[in-house]
Amino acid sequence: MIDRLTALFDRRPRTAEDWLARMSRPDVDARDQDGFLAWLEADPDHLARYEAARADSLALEPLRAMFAADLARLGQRPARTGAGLARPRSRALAAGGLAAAALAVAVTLAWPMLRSPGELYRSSPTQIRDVVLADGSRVTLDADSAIRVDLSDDVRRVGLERGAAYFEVAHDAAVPFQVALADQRVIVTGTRFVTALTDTGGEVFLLEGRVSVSARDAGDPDALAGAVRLLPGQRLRLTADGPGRPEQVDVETPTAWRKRRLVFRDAPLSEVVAAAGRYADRPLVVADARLARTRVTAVLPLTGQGTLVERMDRLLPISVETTTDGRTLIRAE
Amino acid sequence: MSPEAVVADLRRELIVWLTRKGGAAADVEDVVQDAFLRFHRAGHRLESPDARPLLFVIARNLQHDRWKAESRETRRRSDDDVHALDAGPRAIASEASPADDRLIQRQNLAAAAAVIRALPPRCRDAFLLHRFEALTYRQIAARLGVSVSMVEKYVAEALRQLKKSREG
Repeated sequence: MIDRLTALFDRRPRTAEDWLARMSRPDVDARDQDGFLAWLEADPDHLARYEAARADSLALEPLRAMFAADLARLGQRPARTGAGLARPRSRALAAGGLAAAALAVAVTLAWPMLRSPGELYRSSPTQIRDVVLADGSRVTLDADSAIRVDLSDDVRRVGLERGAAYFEVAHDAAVPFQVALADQRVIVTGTRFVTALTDTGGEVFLLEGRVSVSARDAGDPDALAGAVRLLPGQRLRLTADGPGRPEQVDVETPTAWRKRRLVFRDAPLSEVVAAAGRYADRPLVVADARLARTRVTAVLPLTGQGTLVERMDRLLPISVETTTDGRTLIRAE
Repeated sequence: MSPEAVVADLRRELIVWLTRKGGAAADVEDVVQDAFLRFHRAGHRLESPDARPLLFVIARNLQHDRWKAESRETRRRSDDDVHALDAGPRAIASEASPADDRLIQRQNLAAAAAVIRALPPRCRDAFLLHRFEALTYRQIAARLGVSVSMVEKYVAEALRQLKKSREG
């Protein structure tokens, strides 16, 4: 009786299997995570039991074909038996498509910037892309980046929506060019610079010419009032508190991606792997404590012979190991 | 949040947590690095909800192992016994051949299939959709007309039955 009462009131999982089932819920919250941690800490065997339960569940994979008929009955596509066989789309798949569409709408609503006017240019996660705008300005998009471009008669407006972009602005003193990022606007007439979104806000690197960073739109007559001016060779960080002070830094190294290479000067290997990981076609996992301690100076080409990982393997003091699930583990050599 | 940002946050949290538990700063850095390695090696995923608790307990275990090793080291030095550290069993060789392993695996799979077939129909269907179609609990709940909590109970029950059959 006491057991039954406890079962009624205490819905906390007790076994590795219970926790494995709980951790697959869509709404795992901080309380569940804390409870899970408490359970793991309660007994030194619990971690091993959880991992065994997980491994056993993964080991069932070969049974997929055996249950193909059941899965088909449940409205899903049957197990993938032959390659390239065209199958009619089932109702379940159509429902999946609807769910995806609903998700896309939700994302758009949550991020109103995506609905702003102009043309969207974007690059895929592994690709650096060159774009020439209608005014002759050249833009290089870093991998997994997006800009929205709206060239009107009074102001050439670009919004950096994701990642980083390098600009070579076609000179036109009458029509200012501005790049909006992280609540600020970089206003220029003709110049070369890089803007990047970061976890804490954004960054502007000025390579040549002059730019002003302002909270106001370039179409506003007072746009440059209170603006921060940058000189070539300076970097400006943008945070939630607004722009900081321009700093004299090496602006070529952090913006070398625009020339399809990554440059590192006495950088920890872990940083090199993290930076290169953005351009690899599969996840690179730093899997060695020594990586952070080894420092390297290297130029890593992002294009050329072989895959990026192969080039890294040749150039850097690392060893590369591919896991069965397609990730690349990187360790110090 | 980007994967790098997720890792950076977890690293910070882990360092604070381990330091509070009494770790020396230099050791804590190493322990955190090793914890991520161990985590990935075990096939865990950073994007999974169990990632944070798992990383924490893995790091905690590594910290304990390190403390144990350090006190062993102190003893070793005082005993001046150079061979003590190498004496322990490092790797335990498996005596079964690869062919035996495959046979065992086939037998295990056949037994697991029988257990799944013997589950109550809804429990079986929920587990099949979860395991082989990678549907979310919400999708499974909608498909079977039950609550999300019920789906969790079905999946847990299936996992328990599978474990019971394995342990005989």
